[in-house]
Amino acid sequence: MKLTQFVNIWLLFVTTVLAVQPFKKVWENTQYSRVIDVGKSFVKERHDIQVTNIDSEPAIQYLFGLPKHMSPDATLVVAIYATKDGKRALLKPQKIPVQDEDLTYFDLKFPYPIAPGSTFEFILSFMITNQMVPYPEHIPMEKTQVIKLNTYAYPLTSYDTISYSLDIANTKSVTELNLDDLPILFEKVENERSVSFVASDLIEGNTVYDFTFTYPRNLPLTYINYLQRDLWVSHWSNTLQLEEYYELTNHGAKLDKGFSRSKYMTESIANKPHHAITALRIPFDHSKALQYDSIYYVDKVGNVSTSQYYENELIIRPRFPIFGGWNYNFTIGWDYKLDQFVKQQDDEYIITTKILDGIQDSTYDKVNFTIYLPEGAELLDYALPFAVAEPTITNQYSYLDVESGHLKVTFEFENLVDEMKNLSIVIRYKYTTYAMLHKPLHAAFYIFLALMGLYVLKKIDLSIKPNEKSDKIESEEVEIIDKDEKSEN
Amino acid sequence: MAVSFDKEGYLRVDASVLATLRLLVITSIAISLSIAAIGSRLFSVIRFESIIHEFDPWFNFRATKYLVNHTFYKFLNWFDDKTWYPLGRITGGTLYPGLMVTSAVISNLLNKLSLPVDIRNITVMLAPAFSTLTALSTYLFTYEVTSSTKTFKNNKTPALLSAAFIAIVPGYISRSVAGSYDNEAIAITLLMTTFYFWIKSVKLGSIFYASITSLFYFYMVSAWGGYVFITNMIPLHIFVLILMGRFDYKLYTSYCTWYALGTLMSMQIPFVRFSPIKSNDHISSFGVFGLLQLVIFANYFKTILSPKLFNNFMIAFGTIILSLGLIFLIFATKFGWIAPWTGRFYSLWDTNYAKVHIPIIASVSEHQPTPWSSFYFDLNYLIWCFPFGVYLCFNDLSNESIFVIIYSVLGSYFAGVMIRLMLTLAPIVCVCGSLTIGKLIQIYLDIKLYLKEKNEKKEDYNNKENITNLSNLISKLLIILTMIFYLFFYVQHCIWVNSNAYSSPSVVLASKNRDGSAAIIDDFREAYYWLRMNTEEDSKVMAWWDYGYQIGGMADRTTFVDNNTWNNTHIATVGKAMSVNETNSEIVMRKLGVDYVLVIFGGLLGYSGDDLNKFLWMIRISEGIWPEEVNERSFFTDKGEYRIDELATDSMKDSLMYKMSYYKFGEMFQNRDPVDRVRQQRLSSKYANEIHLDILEEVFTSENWLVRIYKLKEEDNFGRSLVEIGDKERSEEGKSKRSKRLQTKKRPNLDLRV
Repeated sequence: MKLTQFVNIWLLFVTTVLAVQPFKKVWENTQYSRVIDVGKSFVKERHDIQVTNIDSEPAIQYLFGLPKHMSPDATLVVAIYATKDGKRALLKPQKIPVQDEDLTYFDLKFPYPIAPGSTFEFILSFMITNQMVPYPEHIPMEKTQVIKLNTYAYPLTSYDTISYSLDIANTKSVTELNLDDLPILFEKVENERSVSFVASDLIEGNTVYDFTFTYPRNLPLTYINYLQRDLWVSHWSNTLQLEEYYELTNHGAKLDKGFSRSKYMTESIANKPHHAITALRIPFDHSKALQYDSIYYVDKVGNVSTSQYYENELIIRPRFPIFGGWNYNFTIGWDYKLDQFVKQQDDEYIITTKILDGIQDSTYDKVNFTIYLPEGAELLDYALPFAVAEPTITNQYSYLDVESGHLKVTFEFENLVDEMKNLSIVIRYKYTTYAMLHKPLHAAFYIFLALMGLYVLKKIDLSIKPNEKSDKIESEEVEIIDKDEKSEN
Repeated sequence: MAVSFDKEGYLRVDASVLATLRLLVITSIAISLSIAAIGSRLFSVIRFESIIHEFDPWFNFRATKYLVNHTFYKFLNWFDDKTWYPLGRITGGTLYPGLMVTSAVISNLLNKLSLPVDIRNITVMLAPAFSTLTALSTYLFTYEVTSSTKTFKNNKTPALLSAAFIAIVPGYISRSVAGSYDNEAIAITLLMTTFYFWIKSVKLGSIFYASITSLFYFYMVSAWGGYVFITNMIPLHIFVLILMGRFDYKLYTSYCTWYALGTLMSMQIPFVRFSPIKSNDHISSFGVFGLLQLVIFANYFKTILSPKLFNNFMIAFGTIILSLGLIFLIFATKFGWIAPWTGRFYSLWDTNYAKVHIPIIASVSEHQPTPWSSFYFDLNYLIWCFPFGVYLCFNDLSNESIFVIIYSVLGSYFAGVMIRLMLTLAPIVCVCGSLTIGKLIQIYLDIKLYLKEKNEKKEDYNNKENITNLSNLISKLLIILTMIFYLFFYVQHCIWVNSNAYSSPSVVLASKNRDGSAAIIDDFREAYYWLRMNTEEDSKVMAWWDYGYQIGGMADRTTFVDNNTWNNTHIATVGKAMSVNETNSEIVMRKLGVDYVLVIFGGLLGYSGDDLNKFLWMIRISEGIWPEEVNERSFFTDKGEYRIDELATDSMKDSLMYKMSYYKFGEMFQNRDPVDRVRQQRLSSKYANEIHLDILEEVFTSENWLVRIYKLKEEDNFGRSLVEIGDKERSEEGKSKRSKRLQTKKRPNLDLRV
C-alpha cells in the first residue's frame, strides 16, 4: 500500500517536472504554414512545420497547444514525418496535464533527438468538429448560408516563429471580422480555391489571439448526435448484417420564418446545393460485395421509399428536407457475405470491419458500435486504431438463442467524422464447432418434445361419457366408411 | 392387408386407410384454405409495407405497445394524458382489451420461444392469422348445423365450402387485411366460435359446452363492442324455440349456464362493468333468463294441475308478470337505474335518426346505410345463394337451422342499416351459400350415385335408358359447369376486390408517375414524422378528430380530440375553432392551449377525403353546441352551393379552415389561376394571393400539400391583437406595391398590332 502511494507521488513529481521544464525555448519554427480546410462541415487543419534546435543540446520533445474550448472537439491529432527512405511515418502526440487558462498542451516526441542547429520537418494534422456556426443564425430559405469560424491567429507554441502563413482552403471569399485587432499584420492573398494570409513579421512564442472570419457555404452542417451501429455475425447463414440507427440534426442556418412549401417548390430548392439536407449519401466500401437487395431504410413510422443504391453508393432522401435546427431519426441496414470479413484458424476467428460507413460530410458525436457474436462465442482480443475505453461485454437474447444469447460487445466512440470511415476494428474470438451445433440440436430437441407432447395429449381421454357410447360412435364411423367402400365397389 | 385385390379383381381398401386418406385430404384442404386466407390479405404488405392501416388500428397499436412495455394492471389503469387535452382519457377503462392482450400474449410467447418478433409485425399479421381460425370455426359451425339435418348427414361438403367462402369473402376481408389491426379482426373469429359452441351445447344440453360458449363469449366481450350481437342472438334463439314449443331441459341447462357464467365474466371487463344489468342492449338476455325460469315453473305446474286450472293459472300469472315487468322497466329508466335508450340504439332502427340528432355518429362513413350494390360487391354471388340456403334451413327445422335463420334475418337487417355491419352478415351468408352449393353438388355431382348407376348399367343394356341417361348427363354437366364458373368467378371477384378496394393502408397512398410506374404518396407520414422530430415533446396539436389516433400513434404528440369521440362538446369546440374567423378562433385556441394546428388539404393533389370536404360536419357538430356562433346555412351561397372560390360566402372565406387550406396556395401557381382539384373550382390568382393568416404561421407543408401544419403565433408583446398587426402590415405593403405599379405604368406601350 505504502509503496504504491510512494510510486504515485513520485510519478506526479516526474510528470510535473517534465511538463514545466520543456517550455524552455529549445526550438524555433523556421517555417510554419498552416492550412485550414473549410470544404467540409468540420475543420481540417494541416500544419507544415520546420523546426530548428536553437538550444545547446539535442532535443526530442516539441510542445504545441490547442485552445481549450476546441480541444474536446479535436480528433485524430497526428503528426507525420518523412523517414530517411522517403516513407511517411506517424507520430502520436499526447495530451499533457498542464494547467493553463486558454490552452491544452500536446507533447510530440520526435523519432530521434535533433542536434543543436539541425532542423526537423513534420506535418501536424487534426480535425476539429463543432466549430462552424451559421452567421447570422436565422436566414430566409432562399438566401445563401454564411458560416462563421472562430479560430486562433498564430501558432500555439511557446517557440518563436520566423515565417508563418495561414491558408483557408476550399473557399473563394473570406471576410475577416477582427483582422485589425491582431498585433502582427497579415497580408491577404486571394487564390482560386483558397485565401492566404501571410504574417509580415516574426511571431514570438505564446502569442495567443483569436481570428474570426466568415465565408459563404450553402451546404448543410450534418451532425449526427448518436449513431447506433450494430453488426450481427452469423456463421450459419454466412452473413454479416449491419444496422445503423441515426439521430441526425442539421446545424446549419435556421429559417427566419416558418417553412413555406410554396417557396420551396417555386425556387426548386431541392434541386440545387442548399443548406437544407435533401439527401444523404453513404459511399460504401468498394472492396466488399454488398448484397444490394438487403438494403432497407426505415424510420420510426415505417419504411421510407425514397432511397437509391447506385454504384456502391446509397443515396437516401429523408421524409422532409432538414433545415437548420431540424432533426431526423432513421435506421438503415444491409448485409454482406461474412467470409469477406472473417479469417478462420481452427476454432478461432478474426473479423475485421470498418468502424463507420460514413454519411458524406458529417460529424458524429456519439457512436455506439456493437458487434453481436453468435451464441457461445468467446471474445479473445480486439484492436482499434485509437485508444478508447474498454468495451462492455454483455449478452443479448435473440432469435433462436437457447441459453445465454448472443455475445454483445459494445465500444463507445466519440467525436468522429465521416473521413474516419477507413479505420478498422479487429476482433478475435473463439467459436467452437460444438457451440455452432448447439443451437440446431436444441431446436430440434424442442420440436421433438413438442411433437411427443402432442402425441401424449392425444392419448389422454378426458371425456366423461361412458365408454360404450364412444365405442358405438367409432363403430358407426367404421360402418360409414364401409358403406363408402361398398358403394365404390 | 390394408390394400388388396379380391377374387373378382376389385380393389379392396381397409377402412383405416380410407380414414387416414380422408383426414389427409381434409387437412390439405384446411392448409390450402389457410394459405388462401392469409395470401389474399397480404396485398397491402407486398404493395406497400408491413404497416398499420387507417385510423383506429393506430390506437390499438399504441395501446398494445403500452401493454407490452408495462404490466397488465398498469394497462387497465392507464390514464392517457396525451389525448383529449386537457381532459385526458381513462384509456384502460374505456377500451376492449381483448385485441391488445391477444397480441401481447403472442408476443410474449414468441419471446419465450426465443423468437423476438417485433410487436408491429405481430399486430400487422394478427388479422390474417385469425382469419384462418375463422375459416376453421365456420367449418365447425356449418358441420354442426348440417350434421343434424337429413340432407347433409355425415356430409362435409357444405362445411368445407363455407370455410372456403369465408376465407376470401370481401365483406370479411375488408376488416381483416394485414395491418387492419382492429377489434373486428379477431371478433369475427370469436363470434363464429361462440356460435359453434352454442349450437353444440343446445344440441347436447351440455354444461361443458355451455361453459366453453361463455368462455368464448367472455373473450368476445373483451374484444369488441359488437358482442351485444351475441348477447341478443342467443336469447332470441331460445325465445323462438320456446315459442315454437321446443322447450326442453337441454335449452334450460345451456342457456342458464351461458347466461350466468357469461354475464359474470363479461362484467370483469372494466369498460363493460355493470352494463349487462343496466343497459338496454342486455335486457333481452336478462328477460329470456327470467322467462326460462317461468317456463320451467309453468312446466312444473302443468304436471300437477288439471288443464283448465292450468290455463286460468297461466293467464293470471302471465298478466301479473307482464305488468310487473313493465312497471319496473318504466321506473328503472325514470330513476336512471338502467341506461336510457342511447342514440346508437335509435339509429339502429331509424337510419335517419343519427343524421338529425347526433351528427358525430352520422359523420363516420362506415355508419352510413348500406347501398344495395355493396351487398354484391362484398358477397358476390353468395348473396343469391343466401335466400336459398335459408330456405333449406326451413326445410329441415332443427334447433340449429332455426339459429341460422334467426342469424340470417338479424344479420341482414343490421347490414342494411349500417355499412360496417356487413361484417356480421358475411359469415352467415357464407354458411347459407355453402348449404345451397352443397345441395347442388349433392344433386348434380354425386360420384357415389354415378358409380352405383354404372354398376347397375352393366347388367342392363336398354337403349331408352341410355338416351335419358345422356340428357341427364348433359343437364347435370350444364349445371355443374355453371356452378364451377360461378365459383371461379367468385374467387376472381374476391381477389380483385381485395386487391383494389380493401388493401390500401390509407396512411400511404398509391399513385402513378407520368411514365406509368408505381409511386407512393407518403405525405401523412412525412408530416407526422416532422411533428415528431421537430416539435417540443409536450406540444399540443389540434386537428379534426379523424386524425387524432394517427397523430398519437405516429407523431407521438398530444391531441385534443380523437377517434374515440367520447366528448361531443370537446369535438364541437375544435370544430368551432376551425369554422369561425381568426379573432374568435384565437380566443378558443388560446383557451384550449393549442400549439400547432394540422389540416388535411387535398386541393393540389385531388385527394377528396380532405378537411374542407369534412368541413360541413365540423360546422354541424359545433352548431349543435353554439348555434348562435356557427351557422351551417351561412357557408352555402344564396344558390345553395358549397363554393370555395371568390364567390364563397364571407363565413367561408373568414373561417380558419378555409384560410389554412388555401394560404399561399396561389403562390404555387405563380401567376396562373390556382385550381382546386377536389372541388373543381378555380380561384383567380389575385384573390388567391390575398388569402392571409395572422394568428398562425405556416411551419410545415408536406410534399403534395396533403398535410399542412401551422403554429399558433406568440401573443404580441405590446398586447396588440395579431389580426390588427397583420392588417397594418398588409396596408403598408399594399401602399408600396401600389407605388411600384404606378412607376411601371409609365412605361410606353409596346404592343405589336398585326
